[in-house]
Amino acid sequence: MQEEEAVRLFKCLADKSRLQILKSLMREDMYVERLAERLSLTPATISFHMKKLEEAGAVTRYRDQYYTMYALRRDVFSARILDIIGEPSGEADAQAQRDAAYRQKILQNFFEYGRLTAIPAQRKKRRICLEEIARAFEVGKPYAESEVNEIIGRYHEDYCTLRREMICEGIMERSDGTYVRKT
Amino acid sequence: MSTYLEELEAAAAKLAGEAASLKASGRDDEATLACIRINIHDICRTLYQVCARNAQGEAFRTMYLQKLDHLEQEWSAAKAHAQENDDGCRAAIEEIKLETLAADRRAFMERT
Repeated sequence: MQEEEAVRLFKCLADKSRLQILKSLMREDMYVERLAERLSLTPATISFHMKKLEEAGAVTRYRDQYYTMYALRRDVFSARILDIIGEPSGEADAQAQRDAAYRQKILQNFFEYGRLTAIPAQRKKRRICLEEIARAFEVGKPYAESEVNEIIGRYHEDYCTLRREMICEGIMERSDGTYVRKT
Repeated sequence: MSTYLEELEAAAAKLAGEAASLKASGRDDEATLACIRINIHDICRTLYQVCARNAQGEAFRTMYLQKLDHLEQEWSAAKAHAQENDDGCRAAIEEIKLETLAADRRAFMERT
């Protein structure tokens, strides 16, 4: 079940009368007038609820002589809620796009002609800038401190601060005087 | 015996109470449907007052029933249109409006 379908179903179920209708349909398939009589509601009100339930995929209808019969979609209700929650979210792509747009905005604000104009005070923004500078390093390759200083210096004169920040943020690792980009 | 307008007011007041209790018991959509019925009673009451200001006697009665007929035609057409487009919720709402209008018409006929 897709995310939108699950939201539609859960919203639809959050109504006492519709739950009563489903309880009735658990016993047997029924038509509008029969449900109206059982639940003491008008046929128009039942029709309204049946349409909502049908749109949410909770019931299905079929013709039986003169009557339109409604039946519970047992396949829908036998799905585990945990499985529904565990479905991959379409929202993840949208979130990734928003993150990428935000990142691009920060880089535009803090970089000019390939150089860092200022070290951001906010940690989140600073990390984005550090990650951008770290792209100048090959992952897993050891660099001497002088090499690191020279590479970072191409981006900003305060290479000492940036080098330390990269270690603190876990972007680079220092061991025996050599530096390695981790990710 | 209550007048027609008093009956409409009483029906609307009863529905307002029902709408509140329906909402409190987790039947939000039915509370909305009750509010729709209240609106229809209000429309019938307003039309009655407008007609009463403009005509008297049999002329008033004819004018008022014509206005109710006009509403019935419009809502019947809206219901048919909804059914043609498989919009069951809209069709049910139009049916509820028509039911309420028919009840108000019956009350008017009985009291005048």
